[in-house]
Amino acid sequence: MPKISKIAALTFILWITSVMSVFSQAKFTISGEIKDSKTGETLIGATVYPSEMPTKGVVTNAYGFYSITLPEGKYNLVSQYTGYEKSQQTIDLKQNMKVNFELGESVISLNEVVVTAEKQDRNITSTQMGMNKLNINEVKNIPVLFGEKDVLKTIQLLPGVKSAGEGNSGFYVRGGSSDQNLILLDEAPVYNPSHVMGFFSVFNSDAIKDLNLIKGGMPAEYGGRLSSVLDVKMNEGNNKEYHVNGGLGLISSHLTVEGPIQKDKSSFMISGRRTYADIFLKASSNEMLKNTNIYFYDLNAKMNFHLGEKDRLYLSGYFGRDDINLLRFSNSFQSMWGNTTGTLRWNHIFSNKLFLNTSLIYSDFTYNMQLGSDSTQVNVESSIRDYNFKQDWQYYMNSQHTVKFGYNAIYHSFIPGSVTGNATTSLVSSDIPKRYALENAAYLSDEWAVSEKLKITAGLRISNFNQLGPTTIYGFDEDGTITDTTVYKNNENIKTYWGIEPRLSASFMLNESSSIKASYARTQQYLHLLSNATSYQSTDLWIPSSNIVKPQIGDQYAIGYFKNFADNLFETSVEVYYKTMQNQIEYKNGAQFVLNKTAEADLVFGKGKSYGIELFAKKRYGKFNGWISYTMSYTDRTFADIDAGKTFAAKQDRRHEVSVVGIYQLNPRWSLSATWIYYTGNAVTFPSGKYMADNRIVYYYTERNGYRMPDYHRMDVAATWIHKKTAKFESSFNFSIYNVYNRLNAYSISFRQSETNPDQTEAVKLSLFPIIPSVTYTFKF
Amino acid sequence: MKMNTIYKLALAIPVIAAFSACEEIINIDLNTASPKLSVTAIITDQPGPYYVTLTKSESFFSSNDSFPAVSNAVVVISDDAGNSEQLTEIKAGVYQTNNLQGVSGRTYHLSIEADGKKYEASSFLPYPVALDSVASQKITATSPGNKENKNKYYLKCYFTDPKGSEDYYRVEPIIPNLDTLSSSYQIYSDEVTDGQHVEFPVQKPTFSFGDTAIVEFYHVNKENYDYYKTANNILKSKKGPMASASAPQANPLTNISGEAVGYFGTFAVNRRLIVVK
Repeated sequence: MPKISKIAALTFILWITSVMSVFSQAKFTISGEIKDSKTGETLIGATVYPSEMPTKGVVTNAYGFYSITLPEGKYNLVSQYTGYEKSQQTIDLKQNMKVNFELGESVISLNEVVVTAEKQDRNITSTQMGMNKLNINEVKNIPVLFGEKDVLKTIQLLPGVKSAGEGNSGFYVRGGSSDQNLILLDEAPVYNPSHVMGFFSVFNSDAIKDLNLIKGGMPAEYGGRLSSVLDVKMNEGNNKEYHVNGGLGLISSHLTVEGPIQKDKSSFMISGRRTYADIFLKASSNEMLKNTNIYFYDLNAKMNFHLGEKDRLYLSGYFGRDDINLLRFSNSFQSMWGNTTGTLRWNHIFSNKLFLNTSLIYSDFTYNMQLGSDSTQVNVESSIRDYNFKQDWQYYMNSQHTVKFGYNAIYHSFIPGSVTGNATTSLVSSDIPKRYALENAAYLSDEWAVSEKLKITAGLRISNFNQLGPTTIYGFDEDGTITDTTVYKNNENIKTYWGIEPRLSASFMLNESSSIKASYARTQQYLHLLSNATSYQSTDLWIPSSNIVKPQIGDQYAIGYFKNFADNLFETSVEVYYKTMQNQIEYKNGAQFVLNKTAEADLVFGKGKSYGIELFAKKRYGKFNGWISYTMSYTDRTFADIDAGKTFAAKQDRRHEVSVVGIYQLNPRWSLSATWIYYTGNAVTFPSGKYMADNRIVYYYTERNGYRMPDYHRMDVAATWIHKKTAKFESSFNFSIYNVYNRLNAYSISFRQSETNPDQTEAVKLSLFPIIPSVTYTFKF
Repeated sequence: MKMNTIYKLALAIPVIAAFSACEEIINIDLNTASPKLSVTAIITDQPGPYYVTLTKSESFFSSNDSFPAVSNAVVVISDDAGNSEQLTEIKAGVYQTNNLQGVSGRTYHLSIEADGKKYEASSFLPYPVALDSVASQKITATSPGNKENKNKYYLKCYFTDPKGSEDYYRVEPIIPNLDTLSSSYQIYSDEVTDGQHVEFPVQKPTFSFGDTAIVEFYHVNKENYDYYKTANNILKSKKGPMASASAPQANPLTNISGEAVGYFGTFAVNRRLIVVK
């Protein structure tokens, strides 16, 4: 113990001296913005460094802003970014100054092809581990189902990220469930990031600029979910000239318009996408299909304004809906659901060292169902709605310290399912009481360059959650029978939880091209998704922590070795993680979440654990590039009320997983790509016997998730052909084949009485997608 | 209409329609659990005798007509009015009451001693609820995987739910040659229709024009309803993408203690004859 306190004391002294060092030397600060020279879009994560001291480099923040503090002197300041030409400026640093960069796309970067002209070693030098950043151009090249480009499917090719099922945009990160991913679109949480039962994501890749996935070592500025952060940023729109681009695909079409509102000062972007499955269904001869209407659409819009040198305003929004109409028997059914988000952000630069972003965020997921028969008309509605206020400060203290701090307050309201009927309806309006909650968080973190070799990012996030009135809380016994009812008044506090979430990560450079990193993060989650499905469903229900449901708590330890080869041409890494999860949620047999006043009585609570190793190797640029990833992991759950407290494999427990991605630039017109994935089967529950009761054959189940699905593998290929490319107009065709060797992978295995021989029971494998070719045409002018 | 059913239907249909899924019967290795006692015991408010059937569970791929009967068990049924009797085994595994009469409002107790183990269950026999009428309705639209339902009919039951209590119902159409082995339970809960005049559509089985059927309408207790509801998770053969999207499979909730499967049902019965037209 005394040894530890000694180390702590030494560390503190070291820290204080490094903080104070700002006063000891004549140093000045350079700050500015890095932008795309053609579109005026700010570049996130671009590097700036003096070529005299390359290790002193900094990276632009989410708004393209950077600040670097150097001793007085003459420098050659270099800025670079993946896929862009390097830019240099010679400066004579005698006072604080502002230096902006405008980078041009590199010449050899042909349309939508990832060719990285620059060398980067940020994956080695930064303290952040368990992070993958995807450029949207990388996503655009990878073959996908029905040719519908999808960021959520592309991230599933990264180590430690598992798909929730064939063709599904739902994903699991390091043994966490899908509701433990914080999915942000321009800072607004997206509660249900999928369309049509998870087969498509809500992210229209035309409208997206950049995405960042954090699997471990979550920075202190993020919180509220256990597993991961997927931070998606929308395009800002070209502030120099007008452009239109669009595409026609097999199942959807999309169109994007962008341009300046006032040249160089403000811009807009608006992007829409709609599927047209309903048009095909109309043409069907089947009466049922003819009466079925199913489609979804998305709308993304963004505007941004430069208000002088120091202020910038962004307004962005997303609106998407799925719509299903159908007739069955003599009943009509309509269901509509979707997300709405809105973000208003204001960047203010107080000084060349202090940057502030203030956000007002709105997010909503609503599910609506209407049901009609001869005599009845019923409406069911459920939703979650957030009003969110957030401030994030970045203080570039000196060359050794970058301090981030901020706070966040979210007011949540939940409609867990309200039912209304028309006048002739036999239904009694049955409202499940609405729920309200206030979630607060404050954080402070310091990125500290202790020495040339050692960097530490230490942070603390303090979170707080209050379940508030007005609402009615039901007490219930073991059978879920209501025993008492308490009515709470407006804003009356029902239950409060606190969370102390330390976040620590460190990197140590072994030499110029390799480093070791370690991290620890505690995360706490106050919102829980009730869903009895593996993927996102429209009927999913979000509930707040309450007197019954405790916050989920996660602790993750990770260590990794990072090495680049051949002048950063190849990037490799090995990461090992161990993660524990408390207050995990499962459902009792026969649980019902829809229209259930005491849904919480159907829940059981337990703990989970996950550990694994992730290998990753990437060739970053050149005619041929791509990556290979391999994950081995173990994930389990232990619940007192399931299998008598025996530990069982979680549904996302998948031992081995491999993915290979290759992109090849054949010539200026043609580029080819292929992906191959392989994984061993998920844990599933199958029957271990059967019996006869009440003239029915009933299957007998023993342990939870005691069986395994068969192995899965699949290869997809795609080719992009640039049909026409002039300064004014560009068009291309993308041909892709999903499941090219037509492997009939098991989507599910179910059991039933044989239709041909009623004396027999049989196992049935369902395969969803055979070989599926598709073609997409895109244009840009 | 039962909300759960509607949700599932509504979600499954369009996706099956949109994608051409492919089914294949496969061989798969399944473990065989140690044999469990399966109990089917039913008492109604109608005149007896009533029967208790005892069999054993089997390995999953064994034949459906070979469930071993459990003979020489001691089966006793008693009620809270002081009546009690031991049932007589009339054929292998089938036990019959002699004098017992089911009465609404009483709680029945079942005790079984078989192969040295003891099993117990209690169940309340609810009061009858009148079945006002039964109508048949032609199916106007069919789902794509279900073409045989074209021009078929389904039944609708009308009744008035008692106000102020939680009530549960089940309908069992009795028709000759009906395959009941995999038919799900047609059940209804009054959670959103307390005290109302209710239309209860019976989705299965379907009928042809001119068919005659006896509709049995049961007012059941919550424990029995929970058994039917959770058994339906297994009985409803799941097709399409929803098959793997459903909750983890588990055994139905039973009111019998001691590792037995099956259930002890007590319900009030209403019967009606209908000619489908």
